[in-house]
Amino acid sequence: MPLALATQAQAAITSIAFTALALTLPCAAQTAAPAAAALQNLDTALLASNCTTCHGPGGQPPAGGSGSIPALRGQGSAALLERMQAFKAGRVAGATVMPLLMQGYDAAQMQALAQWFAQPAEAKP
Amino acid sequence: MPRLQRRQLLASAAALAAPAFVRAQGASARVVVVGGGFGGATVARYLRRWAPQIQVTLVEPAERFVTCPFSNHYLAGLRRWDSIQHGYDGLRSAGVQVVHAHAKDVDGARRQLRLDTGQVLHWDRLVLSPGVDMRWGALEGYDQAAAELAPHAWKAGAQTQLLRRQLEAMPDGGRFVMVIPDNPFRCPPGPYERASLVAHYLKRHKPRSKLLLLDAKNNFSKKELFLQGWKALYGDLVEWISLAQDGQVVRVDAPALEVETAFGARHKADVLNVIPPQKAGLIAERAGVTDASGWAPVRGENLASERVPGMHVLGDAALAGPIPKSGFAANNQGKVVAAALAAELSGRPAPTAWYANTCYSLLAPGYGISVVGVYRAQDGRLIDLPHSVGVSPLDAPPAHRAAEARQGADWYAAISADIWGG
Repeated sequence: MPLALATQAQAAITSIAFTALALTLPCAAQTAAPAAAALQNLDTALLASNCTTCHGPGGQPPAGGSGSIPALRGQGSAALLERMQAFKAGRVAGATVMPLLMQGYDAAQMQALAQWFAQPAEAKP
Repeated sequence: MPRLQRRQLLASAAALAAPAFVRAQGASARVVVVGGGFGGATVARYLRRWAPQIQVTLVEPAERFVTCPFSNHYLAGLRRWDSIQHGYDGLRSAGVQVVHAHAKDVDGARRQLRLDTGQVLHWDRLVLSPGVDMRWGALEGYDQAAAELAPHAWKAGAQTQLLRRQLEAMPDGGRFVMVIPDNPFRCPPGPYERASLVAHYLKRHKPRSKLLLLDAKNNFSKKELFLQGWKALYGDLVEWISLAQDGQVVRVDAPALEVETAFGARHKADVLNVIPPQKAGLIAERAGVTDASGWAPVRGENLASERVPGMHVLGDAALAGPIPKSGFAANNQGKVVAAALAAELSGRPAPTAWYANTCYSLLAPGYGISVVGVYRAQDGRLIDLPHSVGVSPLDAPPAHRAAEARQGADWYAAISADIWGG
């Protein structure tokens, strides 16, 4: 994919993610802007913390492991989202726990997680 | 927006009614967390991360915490003792005040926690993550003195080391007997992973020996996977006797290393490992958060006690519906409590609770299996997400079992770093 197209796709995904989040959080949408941002961030931080139990603090596995559980931090949001969708749809050969786990997250949550771990460092809620 | 105005009014009313809330707005709310294990240490760390203005004190007697997860690996000689211990320097660096003492009593009206050192801690919110205590005497003949002869090793520490010494001293051709309780108890697949790794040790070092599992249940976590794995790996070395087959032990004679079942069968052991019925850690009882079951009922949205205001209970001590009593679950519950308190004590809207669980069990080096589930709150209760709860496939190829064995080890490193910093 040419760089310009990739950037466009990224922007589209970002926009979808925030729209989806706003749709799932009607109360936040009605509140003043800073509070809405805080709610989204704490919700997403909490959701992302489900992942770090295996993928390591901040989505970065500790050194010295076998590498069987990949880093999430710093991967592109499109790649992360595609991977989560593939797990959920049962399209990843040799997958272990992820196909089941992803059944517990909807499209908006997956978008939010992809955005969260795509950031270079953990955002403050 | 009339709805918003009403919410604001309610929030103001709550602030007037609750002194803690007012102090919280002044940026110095105090949260005391009891228990430095998978649940409590997680609350402390994440509370500091998500609401750095809150003062967090963690009360934990052990200077180095020994984890139950991976203690079966130590038992079978697959891990060093110090590899399943974690200190608290990482939490101190995160700004948590760590107090090494036993929590003795709670005064809910005064919002005070008394320690065995005589120190009294004041709190705006109290978080209890005390793990389990044994129900001494619930199984006839099994009390604290009996546990020195027939260890439970279900709280990792001296009991685990005692059981390992007994296993190492057992003669080849001896008989290792495990007594396994009915639900609920800490770590549902734990007894069966222990059986697997004891069998692995015996097959390697004492191949004429026998492992007998006396179970008070007919079903257990990952049952078909364990039964398939035992047959493939250990043949007739492991024998599991279900409730229906008279597996329920009703009496223990620890000095004689003998147990008696409901229908009167007697089984003699060379090493006797009794995992007795359990309940929430004693401090939960003292705080008044437990019910007649011995466990603490909580609200699914934030794990607030259903019985005492201002207190949250998590981990093995809590009645958390379908969520198993696992280290992973306690860690995820800790994050929910931290997020809920961070929001509440800084006047932000409550976050949406979401819980995951993954428990890996090792049947032999290179042979791992798992159970997973995702859970959310609904009207105060916890429910599982459709199609998210399940286990590894039966008849999976060796590569699948090997992958889950590696992932189990990497999970342990990751969660340890997530909680204690290493």
